Amino acid sequence: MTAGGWLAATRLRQGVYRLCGAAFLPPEDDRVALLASSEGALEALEPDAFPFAAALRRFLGAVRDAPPTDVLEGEYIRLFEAGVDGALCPPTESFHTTAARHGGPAEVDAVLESTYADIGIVHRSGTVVTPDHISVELEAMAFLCAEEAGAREADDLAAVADSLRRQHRFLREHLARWAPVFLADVRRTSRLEVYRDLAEATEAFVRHDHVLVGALVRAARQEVGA
Amino acid sequence: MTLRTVVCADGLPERWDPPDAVVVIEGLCDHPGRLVPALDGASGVVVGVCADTHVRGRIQAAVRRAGLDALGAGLVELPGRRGDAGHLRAVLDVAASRAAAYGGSSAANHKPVIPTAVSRRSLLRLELPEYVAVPAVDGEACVAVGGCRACAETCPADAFSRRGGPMALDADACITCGRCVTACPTGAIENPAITPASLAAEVEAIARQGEGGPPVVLTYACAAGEPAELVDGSFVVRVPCVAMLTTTWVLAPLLAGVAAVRVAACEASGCARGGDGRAADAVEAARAVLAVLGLDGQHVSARTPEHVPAPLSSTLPPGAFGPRGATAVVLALADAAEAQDVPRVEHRALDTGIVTVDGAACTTCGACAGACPTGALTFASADGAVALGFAARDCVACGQCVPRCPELARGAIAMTPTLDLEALRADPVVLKRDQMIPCENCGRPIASVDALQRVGALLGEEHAGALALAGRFCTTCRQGPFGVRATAAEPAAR
Repeated sequence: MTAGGWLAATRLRQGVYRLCGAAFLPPEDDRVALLASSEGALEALEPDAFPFAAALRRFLGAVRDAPPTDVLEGEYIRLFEAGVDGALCPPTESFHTTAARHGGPAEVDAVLESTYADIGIVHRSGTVVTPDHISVELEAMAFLCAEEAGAREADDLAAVADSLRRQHRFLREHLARWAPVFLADVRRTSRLEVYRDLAEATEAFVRHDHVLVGALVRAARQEVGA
Repeated sequence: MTLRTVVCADGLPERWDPPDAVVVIEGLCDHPGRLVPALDGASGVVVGVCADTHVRGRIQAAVRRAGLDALGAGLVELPGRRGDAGHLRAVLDVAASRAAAYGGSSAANHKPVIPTAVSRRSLLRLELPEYVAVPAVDGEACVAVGGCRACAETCPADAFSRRGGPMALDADACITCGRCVTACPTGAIENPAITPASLAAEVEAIARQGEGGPPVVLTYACAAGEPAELVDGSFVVRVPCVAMLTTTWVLAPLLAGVAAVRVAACEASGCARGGDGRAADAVEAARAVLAVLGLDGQHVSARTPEHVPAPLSSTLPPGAFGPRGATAVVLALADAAEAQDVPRVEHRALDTGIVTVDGAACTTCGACAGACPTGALTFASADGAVALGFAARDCVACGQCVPRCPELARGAIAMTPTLDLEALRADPVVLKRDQMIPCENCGRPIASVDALQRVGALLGEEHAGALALAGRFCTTCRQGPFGVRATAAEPAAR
């Protein structure tokens, strides 16, 4: 693969992180329309190099055929907020990683806010989602991918290696640690195809990215002795 | 299933007369995208690529673009101009059988392999990753909750962990050696690239190549290693690592009609996956089985056999490569050998085992039966009596029962990997009988007589009162509302 090829791959990863992050936010007309229109951008980045491509296409197809936004809203609330009919899929890291549900979220949020500060981003207070919400963690990874893409454009090998290390650490300590369990719950529980497919695509992508970035970090270690 | 076989024209033998079913594409290895239209309408694929090519990642991408699962694509290295056209045809046929038995993969099964850095700044210009299959744990079939740790104990990469439920595999840490797949006593860990069904299909297809011709030799070789040196008529079965081979996997092909099995061990190469002699152990144990059955030892070897014996059988027992195939395989071999009065043989790599219990040390607590992943050990109670049973035919010698025994230090239980045909053919036996003491209040069982005696011995005389209470009332009846404990005379008020 050429330098441009890996740059495209990094841009693809950035785009998929953003896409999945946005899809886990409360559904709104504009947001759903934006998701539905992203198929062309995805195809331009040649996703078939990676095994998550099929799952992503299925999700975007489901967005295209999705029911009206108010139906999506109902399912969003059922799955992620109210837990109606046994559907209890809180999209937050603290729910999945803290044994004691009381006091745990604050600690996880504090760790994450510190991590975000190290990365160079700030979680805006007053937003509808907490720092440990899956959308925020996916967005943080998108930011790190953008950083890696910039380093690749500049042909800065050390910066690429540094960014990969930070991505791997974030995946290992946060996103890849809990998201697959949460996403499997969503897959099992959702009544709407669009959320089932979103969960399947995100799970396939996050699992893949964790292993891919790990392999790239090891390659970088050989390359730059990092 | 619509299986398509596509080969690169550049890697074909000179005397290649392509069968109608094989699609030949000029320059396929230089232009993997040409594969996509050839796969229109196909549901499975075998791709023949040039031996010295490095385009596997791009071939897989093309397979994905055609809407297929790239891990299911059988990749065959073409022999080039001087190759044997007849053998290539047979190899493609075998690969097609394996691909047809492919059962699909999940997101957890894909592991990218980044090509080794070969030049400065190659991190910026790496080839597209090639994907290898990593195993995944079927949470429904995993019995880690019962205490089984067979996968974690065999994993050389410490890739297994557990947080309450089934075992979890860290695909990033996994080195895809496959040891966990064959170590799992319930078949809960499956690698889509080499399932019991796909291996059986491949072995049977290899055996068919010997029908009406010279006997067939099957060589197990590491998928990541150098191509094994072949003898005439030899077919290679690539496994993730030869250290994953069990004695049963080595012996089973002999029942399908393969004349000899060779294990091309590469443990001397310093590979992180091997190195502890497991493949050599499996060969040694398989040869021990052959010897005790009076069969020619040349049926199994670690190197090229001195001579190729005649095939033993042509029927592979169902489930031969499955987690509990060992009994069926050795019994079928014994039938093929018409062996009589076979003595017991012990070897640490055997996949059948015999559990023994020291009746004086065992307290009949049933922990071993609770931990047994295959149900070979049973704990049954009726009318106040309890029996610890053992069915040798169901024992896979995993040894998970042994560390769960609370009286292990006193030698209460032992499991010995053993071939004992008499035991395998026999009905289950009772290893120990005991009586359960019922609660005087509710009638539910408290513990076995031997367990209470053992507790009494451990507590000593000064706690005789407590023991008397424990021997009369169950834990529920001993403790009433608000935690008020009963006395030895009366149960707690409910």
